[in-house]
Amino acid sequence: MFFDQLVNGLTLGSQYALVAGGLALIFSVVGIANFAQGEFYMVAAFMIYGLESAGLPYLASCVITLAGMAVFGLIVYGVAIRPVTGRGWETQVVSTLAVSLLLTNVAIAGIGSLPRLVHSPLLAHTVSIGPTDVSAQRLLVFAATLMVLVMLGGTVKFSKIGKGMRAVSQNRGAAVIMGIPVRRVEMTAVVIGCILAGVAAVTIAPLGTVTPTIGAPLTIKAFAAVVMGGFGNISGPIVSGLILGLVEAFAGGYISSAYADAFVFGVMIAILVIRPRGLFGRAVRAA
Amino acid sequence: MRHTRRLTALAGMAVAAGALPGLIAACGPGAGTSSGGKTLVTVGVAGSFSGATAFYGQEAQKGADLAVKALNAAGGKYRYKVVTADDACTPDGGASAYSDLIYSQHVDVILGSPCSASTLGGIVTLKRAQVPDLVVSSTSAAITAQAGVGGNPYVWRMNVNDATMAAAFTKYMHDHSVTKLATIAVDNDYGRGAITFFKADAAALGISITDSEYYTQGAGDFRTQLTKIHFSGARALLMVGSYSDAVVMLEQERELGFRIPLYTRGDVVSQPFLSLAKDPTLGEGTVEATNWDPTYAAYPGIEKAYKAAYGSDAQSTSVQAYLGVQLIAKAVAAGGGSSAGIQKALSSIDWNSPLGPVKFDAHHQAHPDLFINTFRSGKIVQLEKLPTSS
Repeated sequence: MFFDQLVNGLTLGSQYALVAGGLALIFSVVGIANFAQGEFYMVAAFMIYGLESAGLPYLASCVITLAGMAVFGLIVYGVAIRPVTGRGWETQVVSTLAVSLLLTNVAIAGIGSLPRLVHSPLLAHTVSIGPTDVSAQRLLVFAATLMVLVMLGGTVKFSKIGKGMRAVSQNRGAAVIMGIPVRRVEMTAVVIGCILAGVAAVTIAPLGTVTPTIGAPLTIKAFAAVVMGGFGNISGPIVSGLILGLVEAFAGGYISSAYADAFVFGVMIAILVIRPRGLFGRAVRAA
Repeated sequence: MRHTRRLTALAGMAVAAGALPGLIAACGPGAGTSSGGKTLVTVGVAGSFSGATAFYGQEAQKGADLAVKALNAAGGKYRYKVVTADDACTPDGGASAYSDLIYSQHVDVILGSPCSASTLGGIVTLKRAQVPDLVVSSTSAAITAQAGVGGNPYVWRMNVNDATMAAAFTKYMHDHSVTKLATIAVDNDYGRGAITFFKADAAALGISITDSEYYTQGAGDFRTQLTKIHFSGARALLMVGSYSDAVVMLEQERELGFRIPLYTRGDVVSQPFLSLAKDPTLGEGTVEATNWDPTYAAYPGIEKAYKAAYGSDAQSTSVQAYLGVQLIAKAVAAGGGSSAGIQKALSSIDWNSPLGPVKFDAHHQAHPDLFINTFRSGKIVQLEKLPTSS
């Protein structure tokens, strides 16, 4: 059973890692803990559901959803994030919480709370990995996680916008003085964060059901991954998401599924006790 | 000037004193107000209208609205109205929703809640307000234990409860040669409560429980639990949850490449399952015990009316709410539209309903039939209809 739960844990952790990546990026650059990241996932999931229901094939629906999430990111930045950057953390928390509640309740009222399914042709194909079978869709989630890890890391390290993001992350005031277009950098981070929520949704949504409240549990686990990985960096939370998935799978497999979440958060707390900055954390921004 | 002020103050006090009895009356339950020459009966639907379980309340309201529409169209000396309150499927929410229905919305009778936790939280408000509550969907046996003789006289339950369903269904599994059973249930009061009864009944019949798993409602990944169940040596699986979770779980069972006979509680063998799953063979052979008829054969009119009104398949909560309003109408016809009249009439109700006989025992529990259904060739087939009255 060990190998089976190992595979289960990595595929489960990939889901947390993808959501955590977007959350970590927005926090690192903009300095805002985005409590609506799970709801961004939910919006994207309903987008792809709607496109498929209209008759579009899965791949086309994915592409349009990602484009749609980029536009959504622009709107969210303009309405809910830009007005509160530079304000106190309490205002920022309330702003993103408000977005979260608004999106959830608009979805419940407008679309209804009955579950929907997103269909993908990859669900019908399974791949044997050792003694266990995994659907191609689940492998896509894992592949997307690795791709995000590499591309995001590369973008932040080597691209001009990435350097701008690092500069803003380290010292916003100094970045302004140096002529870095801080607002544009922050907006780009939010847009990428929303696109990452879209990547998570188009790959993960076919594995379960889509409801207006699917975002909240993902946000909680994503926050756990970010806290465990360390605020201020992006790849740490992604790796931590994978670790959390493994902990959940092994705890559920060898102890009890009733206490799997307790183990997950217990491990998070234990890591913070030993290493308060998180596994890969560094000091958060000075200003 | 002082004389005028004193007179004004006295006049104000007189007006307030005159209005006080009316204000006090308005703070309590409804008194069957008149509306266009007919007596208005206000039915309060308590249910979850927010969060992950919002469909419970929404479906209950849809069913109640349809029934009220039919009753009002049929005419008579009563006119019915439905109002709602959100209980968020929690005990606190239930207390709040019931209070809102009684003291703010002045209902004559409460229909609710589909969530057992909310019903248990809300029924504490009934005694003081003297408003009857007709439970039509909550399945917790604790509700029956607290109702009627020695308990809350204002709680009435029309549907079969967890204890009765577990006893009958476990015997059914035993009669069909189930010897090694694993369980998986939604991790809340409903799931845990139901599994407790199943485990006790299984032990009494010699069925070995090889593994017992739980999951969070709406969870997308069952692989961890299914893998463990597979390695436990179970020869059958009992699931207590919802049809949407069952669709996801069965797809992942298929993904893992193993399948054992599935027994379910939770509207899995239903039209909504078939609509969601798209593949009609996904749930083939699943056997479910339930307190309503998912083939709709017992009440074709309700299913047609629901589909015409809402464009989708009626769920158990909507059908149960519909029949609950019909039962309330019978009580109103016998006892009048006030809370006291409905309360008195419920005690002598004897109705051969589409779900079976509805006659309340000392604990205000009715004993309608238990339906055993399965999927066969992508269609719902009723295997047995078991009476639950002794």
